[in-house]
Amino acid sequence: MSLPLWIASLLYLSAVTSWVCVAVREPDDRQALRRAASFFVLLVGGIAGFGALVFLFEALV
Amino acid sequence: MSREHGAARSLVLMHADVEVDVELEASGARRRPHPWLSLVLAWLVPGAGHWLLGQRWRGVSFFVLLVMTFAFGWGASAGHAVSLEHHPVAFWLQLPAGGPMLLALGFAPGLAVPPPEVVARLDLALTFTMVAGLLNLLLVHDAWERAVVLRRGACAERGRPR
Repeated sequence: MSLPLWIASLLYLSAVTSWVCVAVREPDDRQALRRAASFFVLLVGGIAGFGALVFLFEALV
Repeated sequence: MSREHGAARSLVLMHADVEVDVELEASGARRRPHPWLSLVLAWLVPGAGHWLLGQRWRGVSFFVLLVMTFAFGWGASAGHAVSLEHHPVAFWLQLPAGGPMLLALGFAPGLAVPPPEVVARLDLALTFTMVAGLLNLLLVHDAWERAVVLRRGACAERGRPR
């Protein structure tokens, strides 16, 4: 399957996950959106970083 | 557990209860549904538990997002992603999705071999359906917890044991 589709899926699933996980605990809507956005960045950054490490490992070993 | 630790834990739990209470009051929640009703409803219809507890627009957002995610995964695999025989581990992670999962089981293609174009999308479809299931598990737990806290508050107001 194509890489852009995987990337789009990662972004979509990260967005959904970050909203659901934050919205159950944060009562204020504006604050919830802000925290969800930062959680989204954290998720995408973490997964992309982990993916980069795997690619690097594959390239070197 | 030491007495100090027990007391500290009770304080933390009381604080959490008050926080959820204040939050629910702020959201306009007036009903106090039974925790089991919240749990079953939240499982059957994603977001319905929060709707019942007064968090209307959040409930709707949970419903739309989770049903859309599950439907996308199910549709991308033409129903093959939901199968206890072919994907037993994924099946148990999809099960908390509730109503959408039951519907998917009703329209399952059975033991038919999926066509190659579906096989190419199967990993993605499994990921979507599993994420929807696990997120609904979180929602079910949260709806249950909120209903328990509300119930406790109602019992305390009426002077009844919890």
